[in-house]
Amino acid sequence: MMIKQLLFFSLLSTIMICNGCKSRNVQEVRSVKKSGTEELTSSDRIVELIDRAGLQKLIHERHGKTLLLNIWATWCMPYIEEFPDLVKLYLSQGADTLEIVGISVDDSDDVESKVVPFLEKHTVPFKVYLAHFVKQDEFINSLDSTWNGAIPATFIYDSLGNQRFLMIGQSTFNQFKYKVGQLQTKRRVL
Amino acid sequence: MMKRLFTAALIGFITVLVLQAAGTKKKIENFTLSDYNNVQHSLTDCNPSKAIVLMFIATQCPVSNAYNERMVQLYKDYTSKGVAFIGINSNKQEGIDEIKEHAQEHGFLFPILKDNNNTIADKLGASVTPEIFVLNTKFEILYHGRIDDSKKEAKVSSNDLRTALDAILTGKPVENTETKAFGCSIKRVK
Repeated sequence: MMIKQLLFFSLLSTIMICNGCKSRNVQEVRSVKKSGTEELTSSDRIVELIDRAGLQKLIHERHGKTLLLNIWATWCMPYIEEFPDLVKLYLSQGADTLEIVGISVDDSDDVESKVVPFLEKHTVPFKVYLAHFVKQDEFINSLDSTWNGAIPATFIYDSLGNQRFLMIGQSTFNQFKYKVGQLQTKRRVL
Repeated sequence: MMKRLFTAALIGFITVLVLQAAGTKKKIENFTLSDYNNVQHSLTDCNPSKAIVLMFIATQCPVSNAYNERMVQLYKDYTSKGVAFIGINSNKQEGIDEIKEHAQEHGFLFPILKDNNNTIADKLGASVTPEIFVLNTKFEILYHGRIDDSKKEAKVSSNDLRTALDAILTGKPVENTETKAFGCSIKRVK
């Protein structure tokens, strides 16, 4: 019971700290801030947490853009190999019609030591969140109940927020481009 | 009156269908694979075990490797109670020599079978490592999913595989027959 209370208050304080952070450039790499009193400086890096409500908002507030949602972790080698292709896709498509978002499923303890160094080293050009769900099943099922948690996994949503593709395992630039292109071609035809 | 009777009959019919569906267990066929010493193992070799635990594992996946000690402990705790353990490696890039070295390094006492062409992974629908299937003596799947709910042992709050095995050994139904967790996708032969 004591451990549960400690975990709860730790979680609560993390949320409160993050809610108190100033609004920053969405493309900036960020880390979860652990102690709450000092002001953020320009060198602070924050990875924003995303919960069920935030995830639903992200998926459904499309503003006419296709969404490519990539689920990854720093321990996942296929993702490390896949990552340059995502960056290539981002650079080739631009941000007008396609939104690329990464959600890390790394453990919250590993943000400072693994997630932030990875994002800083690779200068990730798109928005990245850290999944913030009490249970892994909850996150997995909130995206797609047919997905069993294998990563990397990429979900592609059309401009209305409908899931159109689920790509499990490492994918390539051409595979991403083809799937995204299918949705965007249909939109142009319509 | 007729309307009420019709409604009651409909509810009864649906209930029967639901109960029938709930009572149907997925069954797998016997299979034979070779271990890293080229010794063949079949599911039928495991009988008369009280349960058979199939563990899809990997040599390179950090999540699977995070469970090495826990798998060894599970083997120690449950083999004496009549549970058989079989490791299966379906990753195309992990060869026999690597599997043998990995097994010896981590003290795996259970056989590790090489699933060439991911045939068994395809038959069972396994897609991630580690991924567990617990079978009864008729090779019906009693539990499918994760070992527990955290890659980090100190953070485990739900020992799903142990809970399932304890239920089976005491003749009770497994309460949570399907669980999910993040893991490395199995690298399949294309």
